[in-house]
Order: sequence, then C-alpha cells, then structure tokens
Amino acid sequence: MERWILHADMDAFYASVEQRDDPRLRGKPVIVGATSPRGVVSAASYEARRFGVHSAMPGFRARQLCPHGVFLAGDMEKYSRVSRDVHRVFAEFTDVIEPLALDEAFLDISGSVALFGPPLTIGRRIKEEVRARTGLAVSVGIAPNKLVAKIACGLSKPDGLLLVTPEEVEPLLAPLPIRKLWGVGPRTEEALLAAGFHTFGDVAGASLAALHRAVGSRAEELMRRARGVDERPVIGERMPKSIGEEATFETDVVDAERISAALTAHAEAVARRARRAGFVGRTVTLKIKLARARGSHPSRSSGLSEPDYPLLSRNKTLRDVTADGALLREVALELWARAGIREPVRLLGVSLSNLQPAPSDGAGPRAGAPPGAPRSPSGQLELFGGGAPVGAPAPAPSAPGRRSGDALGRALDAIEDKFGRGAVRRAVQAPAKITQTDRRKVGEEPDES
Amino acid sequence: MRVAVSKKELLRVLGRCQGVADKKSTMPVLGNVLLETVGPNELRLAATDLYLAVSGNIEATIERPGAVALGARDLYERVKMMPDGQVTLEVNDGAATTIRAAGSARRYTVHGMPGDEFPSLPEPDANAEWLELEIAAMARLIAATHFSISTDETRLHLSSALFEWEGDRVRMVTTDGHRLSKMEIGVKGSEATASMLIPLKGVQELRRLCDEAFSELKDDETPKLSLVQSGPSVFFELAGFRFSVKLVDAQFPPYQQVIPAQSERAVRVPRNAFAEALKAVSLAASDRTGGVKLTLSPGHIRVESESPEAGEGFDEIDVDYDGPEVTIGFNAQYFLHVLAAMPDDEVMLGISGELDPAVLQPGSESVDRSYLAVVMPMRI
Repeated sequence: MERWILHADMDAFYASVEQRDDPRLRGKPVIVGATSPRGVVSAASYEARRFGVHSAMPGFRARQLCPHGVFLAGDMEKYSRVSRDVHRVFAEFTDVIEPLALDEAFLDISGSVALFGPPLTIGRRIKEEVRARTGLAVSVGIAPNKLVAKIACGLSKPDGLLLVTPEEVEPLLAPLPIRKLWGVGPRTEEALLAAGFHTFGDVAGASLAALHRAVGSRAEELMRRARGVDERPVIGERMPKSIGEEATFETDVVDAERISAALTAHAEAVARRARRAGFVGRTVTLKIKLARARGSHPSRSSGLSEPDYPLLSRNKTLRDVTADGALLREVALELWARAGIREPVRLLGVSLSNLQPAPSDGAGPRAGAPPGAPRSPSGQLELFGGGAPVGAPAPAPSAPGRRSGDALGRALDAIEDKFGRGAVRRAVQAPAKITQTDRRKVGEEPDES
Repeated sequence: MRVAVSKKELLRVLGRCQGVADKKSTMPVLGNVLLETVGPNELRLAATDLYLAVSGNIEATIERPGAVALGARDLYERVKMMPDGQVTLEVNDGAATTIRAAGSARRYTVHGMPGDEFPSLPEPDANAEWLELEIAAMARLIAATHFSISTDETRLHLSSALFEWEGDRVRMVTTDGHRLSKMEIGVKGSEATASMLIPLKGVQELRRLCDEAFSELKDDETPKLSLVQSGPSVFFELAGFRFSVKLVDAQFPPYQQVIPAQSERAVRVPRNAFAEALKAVSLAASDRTGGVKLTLSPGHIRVESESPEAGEGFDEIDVDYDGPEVTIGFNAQYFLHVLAAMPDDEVMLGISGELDPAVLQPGSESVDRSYLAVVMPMRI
C-alpha cells in the first residue's frame, strides 16, 4: 500500500471565520488576537498579510504596519465549534487523524484510496466538503510523508491543493530556503547560511562531514529532512500525550498531610481517567508551583504585572505501564520527597504520560501474561514473582493486608459508577476524619496495649 | 578567610565534593562546597545533598581563618583553569571569594554564602566501633555487583546494594528484579556483624573514592578503609576522605530464595569468546528489548537474534556439552555486565528451563572469593 499523508490547514482561520460572520469585514485587513497592548497576533486575514502582518507578531508592530486594520479580540469558543465541523469532515475520509491545532491536521489517507479514489480526489473532496459545511477555505498538501505534506500545503496556499509524488519530492524541495526546513530555527539557519547552505538542495547534496561541521550532531537528521525523508507516523487523536490533574490550593500549603492528601487525590483521579479512557502509562510527572514569587512579568492579557511563581517538575519513568492509583500515588509522593521542598506550595499536579492503550480485556497491563513468572512488556521475566506487581514498591510491612493494582482500580470504578464520584476515597484524602484507632490499625502509631 | 593551598590537592578534594553537592536542590546551599579552616594549617572541604556527605582536609597556609560556602561546580571549574602551583582563596565582603595564583594575573571572584549557612554534616557516635577493610576488597565487591542495582528510585529496596559482614566474610548483593549479583570475599582474622542497604548514589561515590585511593597508591601498600554504621548512616574513611551515606530503610528482597540450588545443565564456557559472541549478536537485537536467543546444543552454544527492525545476527561457540538441546531468551547486556565483572578465563553457565533463571559463576571457586550472578530469561 502506497503511503499518502494529507496535511490540511485552514486559511487565516480565525480571521476567515470573522469575515464569514460579518460581511462588513470582507475585503478588509482583519487581525485577531492583538487587542491588548502586549498581545500577539493569532491570525491575520490575507488582506492584512499584504501589509506584512503575520501570526505571532507583537500587536504594536501589527498596528504600525497596518494602522487601519480591524483588530478583534477573537472568540475561541466559536472557532472551536467551527473546528469541530472541519474535523468531522476529515473523519469521514480516514480515522487516522493527528490534529495539530484547531485549524490544522495530518490525515493518513493511505487506506482511504481504495474507498474514495486517488489522493488528489480525496484532497479535492475534503476541500469541497469543508467549504460546503463551513463556508471556509482549507489548503491541502498531499505527499508520501508528513514533512513534505506540510511543506506542500504551505506552498499551495491560499485555498490550494498540491500533490507531491515520491519522484517529485526532491525537485520540489531542492530550491526551498533552509529556513523552511522543519527543525531549523534562527540559530541553526545562521549556522547553515554561514557554511554556505542556502537551500534544501544544498543540505541534501552536502557531504555529511561538512554539514556536521556546521550543525553538529543534528547533521544526519537535517540531511534526511532536506531530502524529504520522514518516517513519522500520523498519530491519531485518540492517543493523548498525557493525562493530568492539578489544582491550585485556596491557601498556600506546607502541611505534609495536606500535600499528601492532594497528591493522593490527583493520583487517584489520573488513574481513574486513564482506566476510563483505556490507557496505561509509564511516566509519572509531579508539577509543583511554589508560593513565594521570584519576580514578576507583565500579563499577556491585561498588561498588569503578574508574579512569577517558580514551577518545578519532577518525573519518573516506571519499568512497566500502569493505571493503578496506589502506584501513581507512591511515585508522586516519592517524587515529592525527592524534590525536597521545604516552603509553601501554591499548586500541585500529577500526570501520567508515555501512554499506550490498555490491553483490550481491560484487565490491566499484565493481564495477557502467562501463568508463572510475571513479565514486563519487553518479555523480560521477573526474579521475584508472586509478590508485589512489577513496578510497585514493596508493600509497607505495617500494612499486611494492602492490595493494590488493577483489581482494586476496577472495584473503585464500579463503586463510583454506582454511588457517584467521591463515594470511596483513600483515608489520607480526609485526614481530619482519621482517628487514633485508625492510625494504630495501619501501624502509624504504636499500639497502646 | 584567606588561605593558600596547592591547586592539585584542592582540585582532588573538590572533585569528590562536586560529585556529592546537589546542584538541582531547592536548597541552594546544597549546591555549594563548604571551605573552612581547621587548626593552624588545614583547610576542610565538605559537601552534602543531605543523603550523602563527603569531606576532606588539605594542607593550607592560613593567613586569616574563616569559612565560606561556594558553588561546587563553579569553584571546581575555576580552580581547574588556574595555573599549577599554589592558589590563594580570599573571602572579601559578604561572601565574595577571590581566587588567585602567585605569579599570574588570572583571577576569579565567586559569589558565595557565609560558611555558617552550610548544614552540619552527620557525625558517627564517638563510641561506635570502626571496622577495617582493604579498599581492594570493597572495590571488588562493588565492581562485581554495582551494575545490577536498580535505577528505579521509587523502588528503594532495589535501588541499593545490600552490604553484609558476617564473621570473616563480607558480601555485597544487588538486584533490579531481573537479575542478581552476589559477591563474597573472605576477610582474614576479622570477626564482625553488619548489614546495611547502601543507596545507588552512595555506591557510585564510594566506588569513585576507592578509585581515588588506588590512584594515590604506592607499590607495596594495601590500603584500608574504615567504616562504621552509626545512627541512620554509614561512615567511611579512605584516601583522606570522610564519606557518609544515609542508609536505605527498607527490606531487601529475600534473595537467597531466587538463587537456584542447582541447574539442570551446567556448561563450562570460555568467557571471552562468549562475551564477544553476545556483543556481536546483540548489535542486531531489537533496540527495545536487547533480547538474544541462546541455544545450548551438543558441542555448541548458538547465539541468535532477530527483529523486524534490526534484521538477524548469529554466532556460535564451542563448548563441552552433550545433553538435549534447549533454547532460552536473554537480555544480552545482563550477561555482558556479568562477564565483564569476572576476571576468569572460563565461567560456569547453569541453565534449566526456558522460564528458569540462569546462573553464572567463575570457572573455578576459591575460598576467599565467591561470585554468583542470576539472570532471568526473556520470552522471545
């Protein structure tokens, strides 16, 4: 099966939506997102672009270039609604869609050709459908991979459609300035220009040694990209990058018990969401915002001074995937302890990343393992079988009856399904309700007898 | 404070302090090294991350006593750039410290903290009894076992080494849950009992200190280290350093239970040839798992790998074996670590079923040294 990747990008999306909804704006330079003194442009209509205004440009600069432009604050909710309509069109042609932004997505249409016709036909139909349903123009680039599809889309704008066959890739890329090469920022560009590499073709045809002298260890990768080689798959939107929970405390917290309660609540919530969505993950990240500000910065929206709260993050990659709240909690607490914070905290967050789909029977990461020695996904067998699950810390000796793992998670989910959220929680989440007797039972306090 | 010290000596001690200082701590002072004058002619350097602590004294010409805490890496890098010979450290107003060298215009000023802001280092109980061990013995224990310490810091009981002293034997055992290494060495004439879990970072630093001791070594010396367990920590003294580690308070897994009493098949394998074959074939193993297949067949051990990404690899070595054929998957790296830790020309490889642990031992046992590694298979 030939690989065909389609990159779809709405033309001047926010500005076009505004022009569609307000006929008075049509034909005028419309600039969205630079209404506050320090705001930046999030979209500029093609009329505005003629004056040199482009997205990410500071608002004051846009006003200098285009003083008569129509500056709008923007309505993200409306754009999201339109975006959903657009993505619905995409979804009619393939289920392998990687959304990049509200107005931009990669579609893997390799498997759609048999159903909908050649790639160019699919591209044309997507454009027609988007126009029919939203009244907006989308540009489409189609190529054997993401890198070239995106470049093709950019070249086709506005309202374009460009298909690049494998044979056309190199001739198409060769004359492009290296600035357009994905991964080349201002500094790399400078280094490349200084070494005499001006176009994709220069980089593609260079000797690896010469390129290495200019950009170091990235040489090989840049060369591959300049030749239009890109094996990255289109990653469907069903796979989130991470699942996280965080909350700002109403008052800053130093108290260890409240920290532990918050981490527990977040960990359990993350685990529950992961189980519901059918994911397991390997990396646990703890996010900590300290309460004591170190300096301040002007707010983007109001221009007023906003304090800078130091933000720390600590993460840990487990050997095995998990969606077990107790394990996430252990790791979060461990990360907390290792961070060594001894000052008030403003916000705590826990997230799980490095996600993969949970085994389909829903029984957890190791459900498919054969009886006998437990194993991790790599197939590596464990020395100490039968005890704690892989990746779990040794059970605390004071809590002999503790059970953790997938079975517990499923039981908790079932209870919540029946009795509502929060029906069952860890004791540590309600420290005020823990009695002396409870503490004795779990060995936190010595038995008086 | 104003002192003059030898650059070489200063750098030697700073090097170790730099390894211990915690540059990422939320307590900025922990990224520092403490310098304080001790007595009439010594400068003491110390660093800690609250788990490990190291200190060492060097000879100094003290013009003005005092103490200052300076960024460990900054200081190390600057001292390194100074010309060889004597360097002077002078603490000015605040804690700004100027580094100079006689006969050179080069100088640095480093902004530090007052010495009294530096946390005090743990001290052993004055009555605690110190034990003595040859540094070579400690170095061998660590070299033979350190690689199978788990790097998973959430599993404290595995991310540490079990160090035990039982009568006239010392032992170190490590496991990451996939493999286990155990080294025992006889200590003639000693009679002691100790058992402790030394965290990975402590083992790594101790290893560097042992290396440090050897690099200073003259020919006919057999240098020793002293150690004492006191409170929550263990203290070592070697190569002019005092080094302490906060021990892990956890239960080491019941490792004796997973060491097979006997393997169904035992075969004597030439160590170098085996390691070469594993190294060569693992090149073509899947990056994700590093797994290779070992097949024990009459007269040979076959080493094979295949993966969709990396293709195939094959090698074969001759061994003296005439039992039934058996194939087991292993992570080649686990074997290579063990083989690299054994000096012997031949090793004994014991294997049973394809789900059972393999055992590697030196080809010949000696009374004052016993080594054993257990490696769990992979399903390939």
